[in-house]
Amino acid sequence: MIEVRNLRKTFRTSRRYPGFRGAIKGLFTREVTETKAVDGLSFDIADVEIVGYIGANGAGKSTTIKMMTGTLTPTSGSVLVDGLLPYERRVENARRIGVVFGQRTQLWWDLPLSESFSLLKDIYEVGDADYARRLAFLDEVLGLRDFMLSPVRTLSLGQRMRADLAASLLHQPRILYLDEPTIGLDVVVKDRVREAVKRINREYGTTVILTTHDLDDIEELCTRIIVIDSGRLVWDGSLEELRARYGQRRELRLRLGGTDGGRGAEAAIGTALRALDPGASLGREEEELVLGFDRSRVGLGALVPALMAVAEVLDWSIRETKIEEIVKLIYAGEIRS
Amino acid sequence: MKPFGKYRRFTRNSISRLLSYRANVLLFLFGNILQTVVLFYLWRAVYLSSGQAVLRGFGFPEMVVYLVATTAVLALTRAEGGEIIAEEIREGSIAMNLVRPLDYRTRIFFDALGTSAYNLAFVGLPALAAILVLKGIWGAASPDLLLLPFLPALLLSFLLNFFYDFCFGLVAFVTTNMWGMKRLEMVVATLLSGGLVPLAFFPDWLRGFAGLLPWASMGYIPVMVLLGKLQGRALLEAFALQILWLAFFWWLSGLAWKRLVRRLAVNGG
Repeated sequence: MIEVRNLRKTFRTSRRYPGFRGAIKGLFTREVTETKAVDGLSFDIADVEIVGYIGANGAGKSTTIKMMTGTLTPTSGSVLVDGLLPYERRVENARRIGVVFGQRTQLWWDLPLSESFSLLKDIYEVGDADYARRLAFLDEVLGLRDFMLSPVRTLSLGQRMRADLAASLLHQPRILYLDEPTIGLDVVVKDRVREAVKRINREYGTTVILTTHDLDDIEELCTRIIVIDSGRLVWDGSLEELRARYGQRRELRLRLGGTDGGRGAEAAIGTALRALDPGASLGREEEELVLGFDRSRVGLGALVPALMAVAEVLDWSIRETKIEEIVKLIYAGEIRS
Repeated sequence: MKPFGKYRRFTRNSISRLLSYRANVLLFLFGNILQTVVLFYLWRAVYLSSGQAVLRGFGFPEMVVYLVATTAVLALTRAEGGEIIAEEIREGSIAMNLVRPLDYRTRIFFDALGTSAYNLAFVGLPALAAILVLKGIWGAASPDLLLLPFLPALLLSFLLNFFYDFCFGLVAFVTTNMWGMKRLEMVVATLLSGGLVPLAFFPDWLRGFAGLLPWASMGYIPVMVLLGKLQGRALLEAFALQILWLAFFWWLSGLAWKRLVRRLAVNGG
C-alpha cells in the first residue's frame, strides 16, 4: 500500500537572533542552517495494517507524514502511496486518504458540525446514500448526535476530536493518517477513539498510520511499530517481537537505609549490578533507586543477595518493563533492530 | 455534478461566516460611510477655496460620485485571497487544506467570491442608493452615469484584484509573515488606484505612468468608465489594459503557486 524508499528531506531554515536588537539585525543578515529532518528512510506498509509510527519530538515523524500525504516534496527518494506519488498528484491522492492532525482541526470553526460534514460531502463528492450510511455508522461508533448542530468552536476537545475523526472518514479513505489523535483527551474519550479506529480498520479494511506519544495507543491498536530517530529508522517490527526480545527487562525499585538514604552505597550497588548484567541501568527517582536489568541474564535470586551484601535495603518492589520503557531505550539508542 | 459544484459551497460558507459576526456588518458599513463623509468635506473645502467649479475635469457632483463609487468599487473588488493564504500559513491550517482533493487557487477564488457578494450587499447597494439620492437632489446638474460599460469593467477589476492578491498572498510562503509588506502594499495600492485622489490630479510625469499600472485597472478605470470619462477608443483601450493585466496575474499566480507549493514548509513541521 505504501512504499517508502531512501526518503530524504532537508530543510533550510534561517536562524533568528534573540531580542529586539536581534530582530533588527535579522532584517539585514541571516544565518541559514540545513537540517535533515528525514535521512534515508525505507519501509513498506501493507494493506489493512495498523502501524504505529513513533519517535521523539523532532524525529521527523510529521515530515514523513506530510510527504506521504503529498503536502511536502522529498529532497530525494520516493514515497509511493497506493501506486502514485502523492506530492506529484496531490489532489488525486487526497481523494483516497483521510487525515487527522490532533493539534489542528479540519472542521470549519464557525459552522455547525453538520454543515462541516455536508461541506466535506460535497468536497469529496460522496453520494447521498453512502453519506447517510457512513454518518450513521460514525455516529454509532463515535457518538456524534448530541453536538451535531453545535458550532465547532463550542465543542469540547473530546467532542472535537471525535468529530475530526468522523470527518476524515466520510469519504471512506483507503488510508487513514492519524497524527497524535489522542493528545489531551481524557481516558474515556481515548478509549472511544481507539475503539473507533479498530472498528474502522476491521470493518472497512482501512490502513492506518498512527503517530503518537501515548504508547497505550500503540499497545491498544498497533500490530507493528516503526520507530525513527533523527530521521533514521531505528526499529521496524511487530510489537510482539519487541516484547519477546526486550520484554525480559525487569525493574527493581529499592529503598535504602542509612542517614543519607543510601546515597553512599549507590556506587557499590552499581558495581554489583553490572557485574551480573553489563547492560543494566541504574537511576534514582527521589528516595528510590531504580534498577533495570535483563531477567534472562540475572535472576532475582542472585541479584537481591548481591545487593543486600553492599547496602542496607529497607524495602523493594519489582515489575515488568512496560512497552513505554522499551521505547525509551530505543530512543536512547540502546536498542537497534 | 455541476461545474465547480464542490467549490460553490465555499462561497456560501464565507457569506454565512461573515453574517455570523453581525456587528461587523454595521461597523464595516459605518467605517465606509465615515470615510466617504470625511473625503466629501475635504473635497468641498478644496472646491470652495479654489473658487472654480471644475478641477482637472471634475465638477463637484462628479467628484462626489467619484468618491462614493471608488469606496464601493474598492470594497467590492478587494480580494481577501491573499489574507486567507497568509492566515492559513500563519496558523498552519494550510496543511489541512492541502490534504483535500481541491485546487487551492480555485477554492480561494470561491471563498473570495463570497466576501465580494457580501460587500455587494452591504457596500455596493448602499453606495448605489446614495448615488441615486444624490442624483435626485442635484437634478439637472448631476453627471451622467454609464452603467452598461461599468459592469464589465467592474468584473474585470474584481478578477484582476483576485489574481493579483493571490500572488501577493504567496509572498507569505516565502516570508512566513507578510504584515509589513501588506501595509506597504495597501498604501501604494490605495494611492495608485485612485482611492484618495483621482489620478487626474497627479503631477503630469506620474499620471500617464500610473494609469498603466495594474492598480489603476483595479480601481480607477471602472470608476472613470462609470463617470463616462472613458469613451470610444479610450474605453476599449481601458478594457484591453485590464484584460492584459488580468492575463498576466492569472499566469503569474499559477506559476508562483506551482513553484511555491514545492518548497512549502508548513509552520510547526
